[in-house]
Amino acid sequence: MPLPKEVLDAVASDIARANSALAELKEVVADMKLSGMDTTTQSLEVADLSKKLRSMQTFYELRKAKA
Amino acid sequence: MNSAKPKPKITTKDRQDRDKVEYERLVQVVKQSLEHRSPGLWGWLDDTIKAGQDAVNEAIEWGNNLVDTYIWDTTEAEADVEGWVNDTFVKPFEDVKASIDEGVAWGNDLVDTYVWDTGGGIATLEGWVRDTFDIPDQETQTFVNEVAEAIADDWNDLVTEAQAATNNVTTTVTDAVTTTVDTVGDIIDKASIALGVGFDAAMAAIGILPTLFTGWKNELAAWFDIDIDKFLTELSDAQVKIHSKGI
Repeated sequence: MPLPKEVLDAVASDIARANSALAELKEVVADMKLSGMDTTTQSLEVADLSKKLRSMQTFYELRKAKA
Repeated sequence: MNSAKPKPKITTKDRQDRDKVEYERLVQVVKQSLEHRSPGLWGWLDDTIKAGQDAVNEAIEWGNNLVDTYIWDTTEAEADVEGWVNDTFVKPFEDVKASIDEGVAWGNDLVDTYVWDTGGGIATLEGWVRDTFDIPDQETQTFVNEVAEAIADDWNDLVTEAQAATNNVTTTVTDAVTTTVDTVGDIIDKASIALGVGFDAAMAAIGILPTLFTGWKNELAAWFDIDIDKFLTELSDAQVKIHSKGI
């Protein structure tokens, strides 16, 4: 069953927003590390968010291909 | 003398404090983007699952009809055997195969839709729903339970009906199709094991549905791969023996 176009568009918009924020987030974590902070926790959280974003992107591509 | 006013120097602590605030803000932005709560997406998910259930129900109905037809009442031994073989084996098999193919396609689509992150292994539907929609655990589990139970109920109906039909097999048919009955039992056992032991197994069953369907299809293909000549000879011999006893 195809996903409605308006829903697909909304998902694509969320993915773009998450991608942009995630890129900034990685820069912030890099700066935290340079300033001498222990960033183990932050790095794990960024990795988890990256994985979820990849899943969402894969989901979107699959549903877009079937729309 | 340099009269320029020196820039205020940012301390390491100020830098770290700024980064911490920015980090928390950006994490929230990413999370909010990933927790897509579109009602349209939720409705689509619901509709897709219902469509899948319909496909499974259809495949199961064909399976039930097949069992009803195949585990036949041998007291009607005067039927035209050759025509019966054709009507019983060839035609229904084509229909059943088409229906099961639909079930397999649906199962694959289910995996494509819900269990797509193959890099991380086979994720569960429960995990996906929770991760994607950020629904509280209890609500997610209730929803997934309902889906799993609906599928499990269908399979249990098939098991019950197939077992009842198997119990009615008479001696002549049992001799001719022993392998078939064993195969049915094997399928039933697999379905019972997969769907009869609670939530975790039911969740796993959703993931293995395509495999289960493919296996079932292969089993059915083997089921019909019988030696027709041998079967007809055995039936003929049986009739001769019956007639020789004056029956």
